[in-house]
Amino acid sequence: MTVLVGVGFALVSLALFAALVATPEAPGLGALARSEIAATGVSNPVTAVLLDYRAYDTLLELVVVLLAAVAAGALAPREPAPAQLDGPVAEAAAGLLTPGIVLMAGYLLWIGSKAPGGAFQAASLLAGGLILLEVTGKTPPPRSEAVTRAVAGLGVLAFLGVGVGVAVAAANGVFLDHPASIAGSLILAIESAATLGIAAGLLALFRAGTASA
Amino acid sequence: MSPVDLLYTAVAVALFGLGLGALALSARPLKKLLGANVMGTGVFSLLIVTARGPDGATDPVPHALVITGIVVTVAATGLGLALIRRTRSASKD
Repeated sequence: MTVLVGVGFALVSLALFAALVATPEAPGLGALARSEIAATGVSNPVTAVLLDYRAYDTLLELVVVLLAAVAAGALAPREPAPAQLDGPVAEAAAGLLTPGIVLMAGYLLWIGSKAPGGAFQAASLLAGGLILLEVTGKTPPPRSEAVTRAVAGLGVLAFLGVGVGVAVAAANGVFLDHPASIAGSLILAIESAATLGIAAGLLALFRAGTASA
Repeated sequence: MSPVDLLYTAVAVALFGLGLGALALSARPLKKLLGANVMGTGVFSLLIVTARGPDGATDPVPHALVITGIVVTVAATGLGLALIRRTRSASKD
C-alpha cells in the first residue's frame, strides 16, 4: 500500500515537472522593479521589494514571527533549560565567536540597502549568536520572557509607527508609502528595529523548544 | 529552459514530491513537520529558478518571496515543534 502511494506521489511529481517545463517563460516584474528603484531610497532591488513595493507583506511577516514566538512560549513549560554544551572549549568558542557574529550581523543589516543582506539575514545571524550563548549556559539578554516578547514586538511597532507616521505627516499620505527623500533612512530605521525584533522572536522560539518539563 | 534551469526544476520538484510523501505517509508528527520543510525547500528552489528571466536579468520579486517564506517557515517550524513537545508531554500524563 505504502509503495503504491509512493509511486502515486512520484507520478504526481513527474506531471508537475512536465507542467513546469511546458509553462512559457513570463517577463516577470524585474524590469518594473528596476525602473522605479530611485523612489525607494535603496539600491538593492530585493530590499526595495521587501521594504517598499511589498512593505505590507514584510510587516505581516514580522507579525507571523511575533505570533509564533508568543504561541510557542505559551505552550512551553516554565522551567528554563540547563546548559547543553559545557566545558572549556564550548565556553571559549562562544566567547570568541559572539563578538564577530554581532559585528557581522550589523554589517549585513547595513549593507542590505545596496547589496545582498538586510534585516532577516542580520537577525538570523544575531539569533544564532544568542543561541550559542544560550546553549553554553551564558544566558544572553533579554533574559526574562516578558522582555524577550517586548523586544520581539519592536520590529512590528517600528514598522507600524513609521507606516502610520508617513500617512499622517504628509497631506495626502498613504500608510507605508515612504516619501522618496527620506525613504532610505526610514528603511534603515525599520530594518534595525526588525533585526532586534526577529532575533528576539527566534530566541524566544528556541527557548520555548528547549525548556525542560 | 536551459539545461541548468531544467536540473534545478527537476531537483525542486523531487524535493517537493519527497516532502509531500513524508507528510502524507508518515504517522510521526516530527517526520510530517520535516516533510513540510522539505516541500518548502522545493518551492523555494523553484522560485529561485523562475527569478532568472528569459533576458538573463534577475527578478527581485521571487527572491523577496523566498526570504519571506524562509522566515515564515522557521517561525512555523518552531511553533510546530513546541506543539509536538506539548502533545507528547500531555499524552504521557
